[in-house]
Amino acid sequence: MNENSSHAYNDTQNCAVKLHHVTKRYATLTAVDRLSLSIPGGTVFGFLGPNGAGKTTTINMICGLIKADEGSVQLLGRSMYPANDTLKSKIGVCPQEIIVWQKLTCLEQLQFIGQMYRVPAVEAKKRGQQLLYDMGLGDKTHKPAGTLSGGMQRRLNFIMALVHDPPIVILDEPEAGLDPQSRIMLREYIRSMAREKTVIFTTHNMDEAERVCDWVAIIDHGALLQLDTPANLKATIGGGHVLEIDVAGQQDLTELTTKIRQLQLTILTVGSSLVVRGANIIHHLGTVMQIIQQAGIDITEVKLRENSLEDVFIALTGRRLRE
Amino acid sequence: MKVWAVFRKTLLEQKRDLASLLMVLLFCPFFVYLYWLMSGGGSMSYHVIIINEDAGFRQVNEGENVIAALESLKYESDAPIVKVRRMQDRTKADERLKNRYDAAMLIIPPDFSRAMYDSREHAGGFDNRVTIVGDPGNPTYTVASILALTAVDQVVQEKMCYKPPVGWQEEFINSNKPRSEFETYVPGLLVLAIMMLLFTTALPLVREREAKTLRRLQLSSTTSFDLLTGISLAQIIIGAVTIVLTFYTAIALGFRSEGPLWIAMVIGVLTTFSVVAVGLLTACFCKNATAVLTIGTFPFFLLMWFTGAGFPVPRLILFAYGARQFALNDILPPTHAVIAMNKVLSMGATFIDVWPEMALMMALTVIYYALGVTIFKRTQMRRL
Repeated sequence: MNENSSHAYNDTQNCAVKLHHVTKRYATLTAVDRLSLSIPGGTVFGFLGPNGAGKTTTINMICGLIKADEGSVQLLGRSMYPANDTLKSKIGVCPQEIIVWQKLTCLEQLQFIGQMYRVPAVEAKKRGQQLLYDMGLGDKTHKPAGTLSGGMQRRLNFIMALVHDPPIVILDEPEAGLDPQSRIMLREYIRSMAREKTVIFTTHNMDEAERVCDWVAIIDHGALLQLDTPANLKATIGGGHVLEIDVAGQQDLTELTTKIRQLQLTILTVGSSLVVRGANIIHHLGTVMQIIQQAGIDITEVKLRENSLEDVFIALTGRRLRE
Repeated sequence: MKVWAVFRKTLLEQKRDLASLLMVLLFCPFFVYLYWLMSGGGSMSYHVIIINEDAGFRQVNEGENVIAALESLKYESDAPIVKVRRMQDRTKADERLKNRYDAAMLIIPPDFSRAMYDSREHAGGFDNRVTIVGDPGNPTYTVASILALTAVDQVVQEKMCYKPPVGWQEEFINSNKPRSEFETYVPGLLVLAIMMLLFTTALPLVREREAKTLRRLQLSSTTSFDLLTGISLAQIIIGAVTIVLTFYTAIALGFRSEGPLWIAMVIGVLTTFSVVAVGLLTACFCKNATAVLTIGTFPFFLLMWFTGAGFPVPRLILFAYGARQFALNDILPPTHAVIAMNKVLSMGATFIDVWPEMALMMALTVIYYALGVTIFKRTQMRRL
């Protein structure tokens, strides 16, 4: 998919979205920088990156809210510019913020927004009822949106993107602000949709991306760093576990990192943490702890975990996603 | 279908925002009622202070006759045109005038009766003067002073058995019936009722932006035309209800229409369109609801003060074409509505008589509406 990626996605017939050298600038800031990628149809595609990485700008260009300064955006084989109603009806967008009509009931607004996508009123009502039921809001059908809890409003925000049954669904950080139950419900729903629709979503939640996505594009400073399946991305930094050591305050870690590297392990300093990766790290655990003790380093927490997409991001940028 | 959906949604939202809906619907009927109360139940009475210093002569006090003449002035409804307040203390009377509790003061001199007798018996020599006092800045002073001096003149003429060589007669261009002050203001008040729609049109649009729901609509197939027409139609319905309520309030308070009400309704609906168009334009320049209530007052006051809806305004003539003059005020559509409403309700004009005003209103409405849609499309609903 990435033009430089070894895992290029070549099935142009089944390409839902194609970006070619897309650039967007705001004054001196380049929000998206010559981004090229293809999103296969019928998959869940995640944009993973920290805040300000250019995820939302990218999806805004895909859904036609803003125009790229350079490059082209194609949807289902057709250029997005100039935007037309036919293409717009192919996309359903769930924005990051809750955007609902507070005084309309859940069903009224689903019916209304459906009609604005040219869905006949009766059909929009029927679909709205089904979606409310599917997302556990069946008993809130006739309640004004303004009276729902934050989590329920988020679920409503999500299904408003689906009422016109678009083949491409764009979800901008849909899990933000959701309670664990709603998050699971949403995740399962996204997975079930993926059989018939292309789902594009942005997140800085690595677990969510790993659980839901078929493909993940890691972007930072508007540029594509890596694009592949979650498993392949993790494989690029080696399998196994990661040892994360949180260090108390400012301490000189030069000697410590040198000694750990001598064990043929990879070590990165990320903020006040040391991230140690390498094959069979569990076998080196005792030695690493001994080195720390000998160096007299004061530590606050030690975590041994499976490697994740965050480690891929750290390996690529030297920063955490949330920094 | 999309226009219908927006129309339905706007009405639903308006219905659920009951306080603002009631304010729009009841503002003008209440305004009409207040005006009726302030104009003395339909006919305004002018308060005149009389300081009668007349000592009388041979048991006749002509000063009292002046007071009686003033008190006898009545409206058709038997309500007094002048309310007389007798006073002796000039200082206190001046204070009342300054506070505008009363409109004018008439001071009848001590020799008023005597002078008239002397003049009649000995021809000439009447060098006594009544004094009229008032604040020329008080709009009621002019009418009150004319009424008071006319009463003095009437008593003097009767007493002197004087018949002027030239008389006068009065003809009304509308009908034979004189109309009360309240009735003369009703046509303007009806137009004023519609002007409130400027805010209720701008607010839903600005709220769409504030709540970011406009973004949802941008993502869909909604066009500026769908959105603005749907909202406008809902406001026109609200406007029509307001006009009917205001009309019937006025009628219940004694307003008599000289012309057919349906023409007034057509003018009202047309005015609604034009005010809605100005509301759309206002929305283009407002970022939030607070801005609508602050920036919006500029076009609102412009419409209220310079169209003649609140009170008659001078026309700043720009040019004339044939018998018709074009003034700066004419660029505001409700100016023509006020003229047309007056023609129909006060003068009994027919549809043909008000056609020029309606045509101008329609043309201006189309211009304002097109301007509103274009600017809204460019600034709020810009598409790629």
